[in-house]
Amino acid sequence: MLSHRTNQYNTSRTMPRPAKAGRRQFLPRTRLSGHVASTLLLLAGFLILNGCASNPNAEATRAYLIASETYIAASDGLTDARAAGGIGNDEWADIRETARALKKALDTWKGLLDTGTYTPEPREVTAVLRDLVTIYVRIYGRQP
Amino acid sequence: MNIAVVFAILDLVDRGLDLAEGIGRILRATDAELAAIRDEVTARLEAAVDRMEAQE
Repeated sequence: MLSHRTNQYNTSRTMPRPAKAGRRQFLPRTRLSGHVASTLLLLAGFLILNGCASNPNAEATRAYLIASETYIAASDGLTDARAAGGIGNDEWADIRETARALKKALDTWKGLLDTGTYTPEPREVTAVLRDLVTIYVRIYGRQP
Repeated sequence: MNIAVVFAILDLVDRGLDLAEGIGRILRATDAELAAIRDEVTARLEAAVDRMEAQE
């Protein structure tokens, strides 16, 4: 019994997670979901900023994966909130620009992990994050 | 409280639990399991980006 449960645990933790994106068509038209999701995007940006310059090892890979999971949660939340009409056109354009910049930073980080390069200050990521901060200021500066 | 806000909060809790589950899985994984998780996360990341780009 115990071994069965142990096997079940070991299997479930490596199983692919089911995709939930697009299943929330019932989402009501409220700005709350968009605000929380854009804050998650901000969190993903800080996770990238904090981890992208670390020495490429297993812990750095974990940090990259956690930042990616946060990005996925933010991206899905923002897309569903936009589909429900909770995000305006101008704000959506800024958010998409931010999301693209973050994805570029994630790709750069992934490249650094793949090549095993340790760069204390990766110039590409620094440049992307500088743009990102500008966009964040524009988005959050618009809030009442 | 507006019923729409209640549904939005329930949705946010659901998403928060999903995210916590995903992070917990990454933290529990052994170094050998990380490669498989990485491939799967990369695929979901690309799907999320495509979905966002498709949203007008």
